[in-house]
Amino acid sequence: MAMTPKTSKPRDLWERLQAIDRRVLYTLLLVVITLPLFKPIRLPMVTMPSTQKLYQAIESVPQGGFAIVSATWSGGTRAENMPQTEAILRHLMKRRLRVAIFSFDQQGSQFSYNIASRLAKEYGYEYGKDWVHWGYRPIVGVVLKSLVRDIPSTFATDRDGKPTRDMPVMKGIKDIKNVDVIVEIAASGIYMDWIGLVVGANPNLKFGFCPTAVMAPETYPYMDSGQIVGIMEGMRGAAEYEKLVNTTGLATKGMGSISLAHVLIMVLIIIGNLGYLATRARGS
Amino acid sequence: MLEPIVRFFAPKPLSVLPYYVVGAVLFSILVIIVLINLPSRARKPLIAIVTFLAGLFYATEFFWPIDIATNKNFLTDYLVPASKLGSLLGGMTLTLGILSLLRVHGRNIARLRSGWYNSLALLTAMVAMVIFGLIDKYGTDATAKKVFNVLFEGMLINMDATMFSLIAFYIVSASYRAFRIRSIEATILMVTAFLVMLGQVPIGNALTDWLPKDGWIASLRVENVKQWILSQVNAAALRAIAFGLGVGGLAISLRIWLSLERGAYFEKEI
Repeated sequence: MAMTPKTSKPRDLWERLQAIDRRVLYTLLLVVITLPLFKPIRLPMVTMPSTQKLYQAIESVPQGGFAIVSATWSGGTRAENMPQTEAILRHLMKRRLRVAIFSFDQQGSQFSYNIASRLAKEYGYEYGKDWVHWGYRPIVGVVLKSLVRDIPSTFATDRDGKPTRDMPVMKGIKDIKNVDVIVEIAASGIYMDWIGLVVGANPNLKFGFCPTAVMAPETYPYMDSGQIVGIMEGMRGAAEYEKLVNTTGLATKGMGSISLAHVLIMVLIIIGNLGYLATRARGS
Repeated sequence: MLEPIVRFFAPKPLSVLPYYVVGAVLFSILVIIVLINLPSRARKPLIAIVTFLAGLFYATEFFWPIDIATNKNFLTDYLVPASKLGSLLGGMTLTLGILSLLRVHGRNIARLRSGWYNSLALLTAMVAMVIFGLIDKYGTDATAKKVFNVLFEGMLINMDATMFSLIAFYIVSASYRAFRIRSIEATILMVTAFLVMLGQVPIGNALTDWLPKDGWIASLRVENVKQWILSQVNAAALRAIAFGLGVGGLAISLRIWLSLERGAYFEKEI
C-alpha cells in the first residue's frame, strides 16, 4: 500500500516561524504587489551608472543617425521588457534618429510594433521615412552574420512584406558601418551573439543592452570591456530611463510594488532564519 | 553567378507566392523522403559532409583576408543566401516539430487515452492560430483578423505572462524555505544578496538617502555598494566562468564540425 508522507506539526513559535503556510506567503505577495499600484508610494530614485551610460551613448548620436532596436522578448517578461522598449524608442524618437526595429521572437515583433506605432504618432514619425519594422526574424546567428555585411538584403522586406530597399529610412544604409547604435531588449543571453558577430565589425558602433533584472549581473564584464556601452537593468533600469527622458511610465509606477516585494522576501528569509537559529541553539 | 540565386530568393508578389509555397513544401517532402530512404551507412557520412562544408564556409569567410577596396572576400557575397538557407532549414525543423505534435497528440485523441481532451485543446489551438495567422497576414477578412487579435494578443500573450508571473510566487515560497544560514558561506551569500536586492529597488535607496552623494562616504550608499558588488566581485567571477565557457564552446564546436562528437544524438543509429 502506498504510504503518504506525514508532516509533523510545528511544536513551538520558533518552528512555526519556519513553516508559514504557503497560501499566506502567496497572499502577502499578492497584496504587496497590487497595493502600490492603487496607492503609489513616493520613493527616491537614483540613476545607476549603467543606465546613465546607455542614455549618454544615445545622446551622443547625431540627429538623423541610424538606430537598430531588437526586441527579443515575449509576454512572459512584459513587465520588464515593455517599459524598456518604450523608454528606448521614446528616447530615439525624441532625438530624431532613424529607427529600424525587428525581433527574434514572434511576440516581441508584435509588441514592439504596437509600441512604436503609438510613439510614432506622438513624435510625428512617418513609417518608411523615419522608422521601419523589419518584423520577426528566425535564427539569430545567420541573421546577425549577414546584417554585418549587407543590411538591405538581410532585411529585404518589412513586417508586412513590403520591400525596404527604397524606403527613405534606409537611405545610405548598406552594412554595419552605417549603423550608429544598436539596442537589444531581451530576456535571454542573446547579447553574446551581438558581441561575437556584430559589435567588433564597427568600432564606432554603440551597443546597448536591456536585459531582465535577473540577467543583468552576467553582462557587467562586457560593459567593463566597452563592448556594451550601457545596460538598462530590468524594470528598475526602465524607471531610471523614464526619469532621464522625462516621462512617467509603467516602470516608474511599478517601483513601489517591486520595492515592497523585495522587502517581503527579505523579511520572510529573516523570519525563517530566526526560527532556524533559535531551534538550532535549543538543540545544541 | 549569384544573380539567379538572389532572384529566386527575392520577395515574391502575392499572385505567385502560393505556387512558391506549394513548390517549397513538395521539394521539402521529396528531400525528407530521399533522406529517410537512404541506407543507414550512407546517412552518417552525408551528415558529416554537410556539417563540415557548412562550418568550412563560415570559418573561411570569417578568416579569409578581405579586399580593402570592397571590404569583401570571395565568399562574402554568399553570406546572405546562406543565411536564407539557414532560415529555410529552421522552417523545415518547425514543420518536423508540427508533424511530431500531430502524430503524438492525434494518436492520443484517436485512442481516447487519458487526458485526450488536453491533446484536442492543443491541436485545436495550434490549427486555429495557423489559419487565423495566415488570414491576418495575407487575407482581408476583418472578422478573421479580429479573431487572430483575440487569439494572439488577448490569449497567448496574457497566458504567457500569467505562467511567467507564477514564478514570483514560487520564488517567495522557495527562498523563505530554503535560504538558511547554515554556514559562513551561506551567511556571506545572504548578506550579499540582501545588499544587491536593496540596491536594486528605490526603497533600499531610501534607507541611505541621508548619506551625502559625493565624497568617500557616498560609497556606503546602498546603491553604490550594490554597484561595487556587481561590477567588481561579480564581474571578476563571471569573467572566469565566461573564459571557461568560451574555451569549452570552441572545443565542442570543433568536435561537432569535424563529426567527432559522441554521446546523445551522435552515436545512436540513424
